[in-house]
Amino acid sequence: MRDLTGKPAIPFRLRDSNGRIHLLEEYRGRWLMMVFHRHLG
Amino acid sequence: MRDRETEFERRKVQVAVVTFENDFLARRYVEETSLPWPLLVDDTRETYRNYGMLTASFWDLWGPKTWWVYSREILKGAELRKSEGDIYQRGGDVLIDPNGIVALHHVGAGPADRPPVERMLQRIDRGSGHHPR
Repeated sequence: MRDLTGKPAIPFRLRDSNGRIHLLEEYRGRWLMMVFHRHLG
Repeated sequence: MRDRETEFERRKVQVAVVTFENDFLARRYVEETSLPWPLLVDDTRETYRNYGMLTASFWDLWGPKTWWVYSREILKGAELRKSEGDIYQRGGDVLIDPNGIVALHHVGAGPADRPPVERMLQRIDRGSGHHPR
């Protein structure tokens, strides 16, 4: 997998645990740290 | 990372935690850990795949680095629990700047492989002209 540093972030549309939809565009203008978990167990 | 929560807050960094597990497990995790950030559910793993977080190999998971970290945790008195779920799915970290550009992209090689929080904070400070005293 190539390193995507310096490239435009890949858009996402994900639901949170409360059912709210999050889109990449909503975070524009702010820093966003996405922490991808391994399993939650 | 949670130990440094205020450092992210001070820099106005939004944090979003992503899981591939189902809604039920996600809600339970948020309740059990009082997670201060939104937990996004990527049950199709599309976003994981887009960022190159695929399945790890056996040796990625059980290599010397993992044993080193686990041994240290045991010596500190931590109780290790048996893992549930897909232990082979990789995790990682993606830092996105205010213009929507990836500033840091890290795919974890195994359970013990995370970039130091210090490195992420430095990258944010460099990008926003913030100089902590």
